[in-house]
Amino acid sequence: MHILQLVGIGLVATVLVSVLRPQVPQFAMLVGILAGSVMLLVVVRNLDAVVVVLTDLAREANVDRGVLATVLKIIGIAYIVEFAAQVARDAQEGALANKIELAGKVGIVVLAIPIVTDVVESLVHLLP
Amino acid sequence: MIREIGAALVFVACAGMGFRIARDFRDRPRHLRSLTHAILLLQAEIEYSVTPLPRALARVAERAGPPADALLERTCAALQQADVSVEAAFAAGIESCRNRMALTKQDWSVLREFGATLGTSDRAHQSQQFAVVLAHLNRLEQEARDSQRRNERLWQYLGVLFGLLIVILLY
Amino acid sequence: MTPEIRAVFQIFGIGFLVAILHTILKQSGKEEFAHWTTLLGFVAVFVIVIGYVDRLYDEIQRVFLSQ
Repeated sequence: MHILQLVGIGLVATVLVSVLRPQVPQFAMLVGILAGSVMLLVVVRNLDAVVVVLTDLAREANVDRGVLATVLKIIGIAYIVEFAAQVARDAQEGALANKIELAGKVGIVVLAIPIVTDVVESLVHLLP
Repeated sequence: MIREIGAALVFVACAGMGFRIARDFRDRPRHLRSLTHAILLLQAEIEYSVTPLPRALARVAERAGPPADALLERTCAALQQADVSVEAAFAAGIESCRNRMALTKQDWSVLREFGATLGTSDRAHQSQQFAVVLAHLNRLEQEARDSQRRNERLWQYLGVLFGLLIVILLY
Repeated sequence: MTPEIRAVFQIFGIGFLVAILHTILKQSGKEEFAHWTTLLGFVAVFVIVIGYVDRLYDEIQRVFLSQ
């Protein structure tokens, strides 16, 4: 989808949400979720090509495939967590937003632990 | 193309239902007024012209406006058959008009009570009965006007808005 | 007009109508009915939105989580 169409969706959604919010904030939230999901969907689809290029580069550079996969997973978690947390914050649910972000952080840390372990072990081997 | 026609049909049906309900609210005061008028005419016929009941009913049925005239005509016709009490004849008249008039159960029960007292008491009591039923009908008509003012516009809007809602949901 | 923009306008239309209905019903004393109507509209719109969120999830899983 063209960048102009995306921005158009965003603008239209902003206007509609601002009209709905005083009367029916729950519907405003749903319009926000819908527009955000649609835009994020298109963006991620466009990112597919970038990911393919990154994968090829990593293969050329002999980087461990697992490491690249982990990095990509972490990026994915970051995107979805940020989206959900911001939706929660817009709906005046700061506590829920923080819990969502906490879940994302813990997920990322758990994913990153093997890589961190490897790096630390390598460093330890380098030390006398 | 078919979708547009379908959407239009759904919308018109929903709005039509709303308008139908609103029309019942609008007609009730009018029908009550017509009945009150007819009963006044009947009272005049019976008390001042001392006309016997069947003829009085027929004459008032001619002069009264719709829909009360149909009720009185049917009552008169039922009375022509022998062995029928006035109350039963009046009940027959009520049954025949029930679907066409926008009166509530309360209104019909007032009328049925009136039918039970017709032709069963002497002159003085008769005019008392007339006064009672006319007072009831006037009060009910006032209620009906209030109810109309509150509900008619509401149901029109409700019909249209719900129709729009369903169309947008399904479209 | 892509189906996504249509969906945004649809939801806006439903939300707007529900707001008007809610106000009208509340002003005529039928608060219960107003709340049921709002809830019904919300559930219907929610079902529509969940469809799109599901597609988003599938896409994110496809691009990031299964390379």
